[in-house]
Amino acid sequence: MSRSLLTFLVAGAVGAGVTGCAPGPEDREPDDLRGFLLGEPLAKPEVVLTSTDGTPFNLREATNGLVTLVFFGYTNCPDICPVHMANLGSVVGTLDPRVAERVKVVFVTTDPRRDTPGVLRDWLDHFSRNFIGLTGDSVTIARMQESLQLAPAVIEKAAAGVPGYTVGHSSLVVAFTSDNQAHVVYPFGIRQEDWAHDLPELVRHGWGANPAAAPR
Amino acid sequence: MRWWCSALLGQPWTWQWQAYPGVWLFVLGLGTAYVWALRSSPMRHGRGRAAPTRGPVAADERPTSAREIALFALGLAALWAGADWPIGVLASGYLLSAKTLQYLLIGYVAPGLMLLGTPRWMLRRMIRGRVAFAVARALTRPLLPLAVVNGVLVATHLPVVVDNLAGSQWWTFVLDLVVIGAGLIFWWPALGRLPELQPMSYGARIGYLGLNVFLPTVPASFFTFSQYPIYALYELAPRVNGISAVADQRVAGLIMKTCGGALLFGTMTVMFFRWYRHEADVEPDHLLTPSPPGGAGPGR
Repeated sequence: MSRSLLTFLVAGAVGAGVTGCAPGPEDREPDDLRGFLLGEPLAKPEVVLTSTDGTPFNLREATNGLVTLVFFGYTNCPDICPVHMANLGSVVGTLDPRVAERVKVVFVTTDPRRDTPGVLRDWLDHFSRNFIGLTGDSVTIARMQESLQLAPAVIEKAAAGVPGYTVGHSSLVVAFTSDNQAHVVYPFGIRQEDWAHDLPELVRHGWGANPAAAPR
Repeated sequence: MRWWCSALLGQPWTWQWQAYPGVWLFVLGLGTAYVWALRSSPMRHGRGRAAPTRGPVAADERPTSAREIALFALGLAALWAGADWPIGVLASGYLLSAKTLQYLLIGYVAPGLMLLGTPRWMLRRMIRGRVAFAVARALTRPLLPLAVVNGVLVATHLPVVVDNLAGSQWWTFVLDLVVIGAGLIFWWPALGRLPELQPMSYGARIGYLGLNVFLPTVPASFFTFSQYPIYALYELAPRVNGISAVADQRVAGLIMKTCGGALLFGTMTVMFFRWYRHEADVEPDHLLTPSPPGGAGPGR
């Protein structure tokens, strides 16, 4: 064994002794999450959109103190949106109910012209009846994406022979914790087992805000 | 132009037909080789009548029957169905259930039919060399085929293999060849086509097939009972007709267990009746002859 490795191991053992035992769940560093940690947290936007029952929906008030996963997409999306939603729908259904009730999935359409509240509801129901679908005017939705530092959605010409158009949009899921800040985002490629690992962590961790409300 | 079915990563599934000329060439090549071998041999298709022969011929050697040709053609059809659009494309990047169906078609059904459809004289010609004969002989014993077949089954279902190689046409082609090869190795001892290789008894063959029913239960159970998708490839693929990744995985487990099991149990049943018929055929005459009235029967 090399001297440097031995030194490293001894230092590690001493360090572990000084700090005590292995960290408990509440002390755990958030860097063992499977998503990407943000250097600077993002504030949950103060925005009012239209929910799938046609009523106004104040995002900040309605999801206050809850883990809120916000995703921008559209129901005609052929690939990323249905995969993200299907994976989230599968995982939320398997979570401990005390954790699941503190997780809200919010799907904001980037195609308000085609995605009426009814269309959104029908589509989201394929994945979960508890998912929240939001629509609104394009300007408000674009501002919301901008405030979350996401590339704004753009309408693109569909491939030859395919009717209509497609919408290019960010594939990130922005995760807000109970402090109403997003500390972590999830790119496309995140898997169900990653969500199953992270969602309870996000509910538990809370980044210091409202820890009493989080289930243990 | 794509030659062989591989994962079309990120592309939504469409029921629009796509051409895969590599698959056609491969199947056509096998068919052509078979026909060429038939035509170039004195043991060509003789409609139940022995064709004139040139060299020494084994006692059980007979001309190629129409049944053998039909079985080989069915084997090629199974291979084509499993490798070409749509099963080949769905299997390579969209649905694990399609991959399992493909595995059954190209790894079990096609090799079995092709081996049954290859006449004995053709098999003997293939193993004429000393090395080929030694390999064929070794593969007639059950342990090596059991290890190879189940090793291939496990290796080709490892997430690291499925997730990383599915996008490459060449790797998919190589893996498909390995599966077909493993299928031929699997059936070789079970069918015991050549007496000079001293094939296992019917009972041992039934036992060998039985073992192969139970070993694939392990991956099938992983598919059926895993809470989350095992393969990133199928989990993150665009959905086909709204089938969720977990539901697809469970269907894959069921296909592997039920269809694979039915195929092997069916073969075991046929083999059992052949065994019975074989035993009846070799039964000594005196055991079948009724004892004369009042006289002592045989063996008393």
